[in-house]
Amino acid sequence: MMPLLRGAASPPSIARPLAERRMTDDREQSSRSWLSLVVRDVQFWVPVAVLIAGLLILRWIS
Amino acid sequence: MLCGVTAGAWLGAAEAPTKLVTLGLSPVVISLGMVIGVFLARWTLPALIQGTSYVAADLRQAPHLIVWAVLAGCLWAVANTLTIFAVRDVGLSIAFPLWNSNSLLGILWGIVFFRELRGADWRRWLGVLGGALLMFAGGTALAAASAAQVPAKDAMRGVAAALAAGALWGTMYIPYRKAYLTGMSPLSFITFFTVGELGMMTALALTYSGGATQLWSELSGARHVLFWLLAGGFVWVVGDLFQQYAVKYAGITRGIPLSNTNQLWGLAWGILVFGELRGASQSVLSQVIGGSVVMALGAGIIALSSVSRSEHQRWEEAALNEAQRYGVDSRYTRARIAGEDAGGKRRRTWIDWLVVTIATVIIVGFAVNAQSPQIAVRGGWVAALIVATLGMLMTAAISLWRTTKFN
Repeated sequence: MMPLLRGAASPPSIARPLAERRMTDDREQSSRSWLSLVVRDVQFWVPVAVLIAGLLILRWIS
Repeated sequence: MLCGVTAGAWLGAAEAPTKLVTLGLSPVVISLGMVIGVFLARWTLPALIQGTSYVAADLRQAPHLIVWAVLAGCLWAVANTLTIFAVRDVGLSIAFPLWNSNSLLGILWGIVFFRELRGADWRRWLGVLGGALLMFAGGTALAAASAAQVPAKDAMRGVAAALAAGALWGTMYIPYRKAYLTGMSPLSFITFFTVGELGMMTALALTYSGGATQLWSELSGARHVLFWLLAGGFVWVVGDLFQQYAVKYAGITRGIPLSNTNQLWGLAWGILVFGELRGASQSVLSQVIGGSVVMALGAGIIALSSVSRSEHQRWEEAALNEAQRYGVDSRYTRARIAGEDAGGKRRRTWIDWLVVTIATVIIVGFAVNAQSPQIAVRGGWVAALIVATLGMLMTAAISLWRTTKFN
């Protein structure tokens, strides 16, 4: 039974899901990394601060 | 430069449809109506010109720009809503030059963050800064000329709203420039920009209308005029698209002041088509003509202060830093800054035709239900201005296609 089982679990059925899982992990890691790069970029916080100020002014005048 | 001037013509023309429907509608409904038109245009034009597969390929190169695009869209939506409050409180003529101060702020961000004007000689510094100040002075003169025509209901709040809108729009050029230094096509950027725009505008409309039911009833009540707002939004997008190309290829320091000539076009539509300033005194007319000439002079000086080779090298350094920071392929960045293809293929799929069909059906649906405007317009001038703006569109589009293939 074992050899058959191993045969059934040969590269097409095990190696591919593993590769796919690794690719998905890589993608998640890469999207996490560019998000953290954006958050650590000083230029990002200037528009965010101005947006918050704009929302506060809108609340005041409306 | 040509894109900047064309942007001014189309951004100015976008005010015409909205002028038809200002009475009886809340500012957030006006703004939401425009943003719906903007959303439709921002998905339709990229699908028609490049295809969504090209947009997707662009985003795979620089996925971090989605965050920047959505942030820029949020800034735009809040600024646009503020301008409607400003117009309500102090009138278009005062509010317009105040929010057009965004070009001065944009120039500041361009110099501080993106090395614009570095390596430029003193004539170019003088040309850009002097031209922008002349345009601001001309705009202020135009405002002063017609200030007496509009009673200020709540001057302080209106002025604050207009200045805040200017600050938001001026700061919105940071994400723009960020995207274009990386090499992204403006057509790709705007598809995600508009997600932020519509999302933020919907949130604002729900908040300030008192909930979904109230908002729906306001929109239903305004259904006969929504087409004009949608049309205003659509025309605005065409102008904004050229503004984005101007920022990409001429920088914030040149592109934004040039597109701010929209004030002249807005005035032309107001005076020639809608008969504004009819019966105004000689001194008011002199101020209008003087302010317009000064503004046009400022735009001309900026247009002559083109980017020098050494300044362009500083831009390239800033672009490569940007590519390095976010891990973008430097070959892609270099190619796109030069207006070349970076391997992306333009092909239309069924998704593109579906997007265009849905947008067309929605616009036609609103057009069928639209009522004719109640304001008298001068048909001859409408035709003349439409021919002029279409002529500029064709000239700029052909030139852009020849030099950059809309990259």
